[in-house]
Amino acid sequence: MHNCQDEPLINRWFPVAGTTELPKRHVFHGQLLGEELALWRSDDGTVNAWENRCPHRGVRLSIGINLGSELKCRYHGMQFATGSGQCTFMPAHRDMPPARALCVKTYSCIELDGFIWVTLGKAAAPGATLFSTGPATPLRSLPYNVSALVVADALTRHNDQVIARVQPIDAFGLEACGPHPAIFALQPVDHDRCILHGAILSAVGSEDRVAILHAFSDSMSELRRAVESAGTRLLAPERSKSESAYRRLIDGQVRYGMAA
Amino acid sequence: MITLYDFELSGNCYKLRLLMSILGVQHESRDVDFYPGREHKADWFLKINPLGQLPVLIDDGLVLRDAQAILVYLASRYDPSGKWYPRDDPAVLGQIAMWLSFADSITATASAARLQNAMYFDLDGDKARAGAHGLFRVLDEHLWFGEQAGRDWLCPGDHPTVADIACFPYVALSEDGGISRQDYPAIRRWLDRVKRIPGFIVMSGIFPAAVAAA
Amino acid sequence: MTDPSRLDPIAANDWQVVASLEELPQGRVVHSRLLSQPICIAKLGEDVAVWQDDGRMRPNQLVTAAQIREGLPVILRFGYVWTSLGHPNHDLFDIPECAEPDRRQVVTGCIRVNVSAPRAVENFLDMGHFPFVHTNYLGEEPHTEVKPYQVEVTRSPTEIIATNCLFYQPKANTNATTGFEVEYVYRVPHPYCAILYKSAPEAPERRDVIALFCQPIEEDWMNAHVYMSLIDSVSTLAGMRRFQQTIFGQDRPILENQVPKRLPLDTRSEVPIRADAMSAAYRRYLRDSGLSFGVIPVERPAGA
Repeated sequence: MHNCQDEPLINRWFPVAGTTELPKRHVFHGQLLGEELALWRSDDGTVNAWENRCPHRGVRLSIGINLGSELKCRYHGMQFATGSGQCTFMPAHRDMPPARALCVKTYSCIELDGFIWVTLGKAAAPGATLFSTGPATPLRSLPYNVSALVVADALTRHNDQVIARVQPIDAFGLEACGPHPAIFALQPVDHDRCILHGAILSAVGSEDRVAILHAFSDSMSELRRAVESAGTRLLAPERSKSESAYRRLIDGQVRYGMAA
Repeated sequence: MITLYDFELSGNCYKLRLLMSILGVQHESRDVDFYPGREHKADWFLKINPLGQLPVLIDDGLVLRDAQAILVYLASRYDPSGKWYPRDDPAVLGQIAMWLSFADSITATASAARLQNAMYFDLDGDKARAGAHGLFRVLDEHLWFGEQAGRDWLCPGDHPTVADIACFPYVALSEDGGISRQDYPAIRRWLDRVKRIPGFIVMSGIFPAAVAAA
Repeated sequence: MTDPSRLDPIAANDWQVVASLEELPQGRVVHSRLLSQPICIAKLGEDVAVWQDDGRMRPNQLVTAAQIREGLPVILRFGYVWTSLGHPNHDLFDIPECAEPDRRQVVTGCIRVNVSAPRAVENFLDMGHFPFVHTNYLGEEPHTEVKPYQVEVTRSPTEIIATNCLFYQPKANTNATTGFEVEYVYRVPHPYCAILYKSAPEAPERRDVIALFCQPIEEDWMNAHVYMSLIDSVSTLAGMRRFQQTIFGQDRPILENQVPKRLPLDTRSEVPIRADAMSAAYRRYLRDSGLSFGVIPVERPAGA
C-alpha cells in the first residue's frame, strides 16, 4: 500500500502551508524531505519558496526580514529579490553591484486550492491538486513527530464522529468520510516528522465554520497523541542529523521513512 | 523614579522594560550580576527579595517581586486607556490571569531550558524542552483559532494585554534553549504582531520585526 | 582512556581553554568536555588540575590533589585555565597589555553555543553585521559601509592581524554617550581565539582588549569565554558584564542559525564580499594548519 519505491519524491509536489499562514511582511519556516525552506509572500502576492540559507555566510533566511519585494538577511542586511533570489543590495558596499553568485537557491512553488505547494525537483506545476475536487475549506495543519507514512497508516484506522472510513488515495493523500467529507495531504518534513494538512470538501457556513474546524483539530490531535505515544512501529525512521541524512535522501540514496 | 533591579539577559526583567517603554514610563535600572556573579543570592539582594529572584520593582516605596505581578501593577497604575489590564471586564481579567499562569509555566520550561543550555544551570534540559513543546502546541492552537476569529492577541479584544507581554519573551527566546519554533506558525505570526506594538523595544537575543505593509 | 589517534592532531596538540579561574569552585570536581572528550577540572588552592574523565568522580564531588592520577598539562593565563589532550610544542600565545596593573580584568561568564568554534571566531572578526545584529550599540543604519582594511599574516608564530578597521558606532562601550568612528585591530593567535584591540575611552593612547577564547566542546558546540582587559575607573563589574553580555547575546541566535554549523573551508559553498578579507584570511589559515575539528575540510564532501 505504501509503495514508495516507485515514487520519485524529489519531483513530487507537496503542500507546505495553508494560504493564510503567509501574511505579508512575514517569513514562514518550513521543511520538506529534510530540506529547510524560507517561505515568504511579496507585497504583490507572489509566494517564494527558498532554501533556508543565505548564500553569504549560511544564516537561516527564516529569521530574516520580509521587506515586501526583498528578503533581508538578519546577519549583514543583504537583500534578495522576490522571484529570482538574486542579491540586489549589500550594505557593507553600498555602491557595489552584488556578484551574480550571491543568489539564494529557489524552489518551484504554486498557490492553489488554499495551500502553498512546493517541489524540490523539476516537475511542472500541477493543474490540479488533491483539493481541486470541491470548494475546499482548509483545516488547521498539525505537525506530528512521526513519519508521514506512519500517520497515513494510522489515519486509515482512525474512526470517530468527525473522521471516519479513511481511504488512501496515494502514499501521501487520503480521503475521509464523516459528517463533513475531507481530504488529507501529508507533508513529509523529514524522516520522523510530518505535517497533516486537510480540507473539508464543501463550503461551510460561517456560523458553523469555527466549530467544525475545532472538531477536526481535536480529532487530529487525538490521532497525534495516539501515534506519538505508540512510537514508530510501522517503519523505523532514523533520527535526522542536521547536516547529513537529507542530502542522501534527496540524492535518492535512501527511501523516505526507512532507516538511513 | 521607578527602580528596576535588572539583568539584561533576563526575559522576566525584560517584560517590565518592555511594558514601561510601551506605556512611556521612566525607570532607572540597577544592574544585578545574575550571571556569573549570582548576585541575586547575595545578602544585600535577599533583603530586597528573600526569594533571591529577579526582577524587583520599587515605586513610591512599594516593593514588588514577580514579573507577572509587576505587569499587573504597571498596567493598572500607568495605562490611561485601561486596555492593558481592563479592570472592568471580569471575563477578560480571568483570561488574563489564566495566561499569566501560563507565562509562569513558560518560565519553568523554556527559560529553564535556556539557562541549562547556555549557562550550564543544573536543571533537566530535556524535560524542560519537552515541557515547552507541550505548552507551545497549546499556545499555537489557541492563537490559530484566535486568528480565525479575527483576533490578534491572547485575550479577546482588539488590544493586547499584559498577558501578551508576559508570554512573549521566553517564547521569543526559546531557540536559546534548543526549542525550535518551526512547528508553531501561529506563534511565529503572533511574535511579529507583538513586535509591532508602538513603543516595542528589543532585548539581547530578540530581533525586531519587519515594518508592516502600508 | 581516549585513543589519541582518533583526535584531530592539530587541535589535540594545542592549548585549549576550558574554564575561568573565577568560575571554578574551590576543591570540587567540575565536568566539562574538550574535543568531544570528557574531562574533569578542579581548583585546588592556587593550582588547577585537569584530567580525562574516567567516570570515577561525580560533578561537584570534593576532591584533593592526591586523588588525581594522570593530570593533563595546565597553563593559567589571563585568568583562564588552558590544557592540552596532547603534547604542545609551543607556548600559549600572550597578550602583554593584560599584565598592566591598572586594568580591570573582566571574566564575562562562560556561554555555551550550538555552533562550531571557528564560526564564532569568524563572527567576532566581522564588522559588517554591527548595524544589523548590534543595532544602536556597535552600528546603525545607514552607516553600514565597511571600508577597506589591511590584513597581514605573521610567521613564527603564525597569526593574523587586521589593522585600520574603521566603523561608526553609536554606543561603542559601557559609558559612551555619543557615537563616533572607532578604529579596531583584530588578531587571531590561535585557531579558536580572536582578540580585539580598541582605543580606551579613558586613555586614548592605550588600548582596551576584548578577547574571545572558544573552548571546542564538540565539532558543533562551543563554550564562549569572553575576557576583557579594560582601562575603566568608572564602571561597575555588573555594568561591564552587562554591556558585553548584551553584545554576545545578540550574536548567539545568529551563530545558532548558521548552516552548516562547522565552518566550510571550500571556496564555493559560501560567497565572500570585499569586507570579508579577514574571514578569507582566517579560512586560509585554517586550511593551511590542517585543522579538522569544527571545520568542513576541502577534501571531505560536506555532510559525510
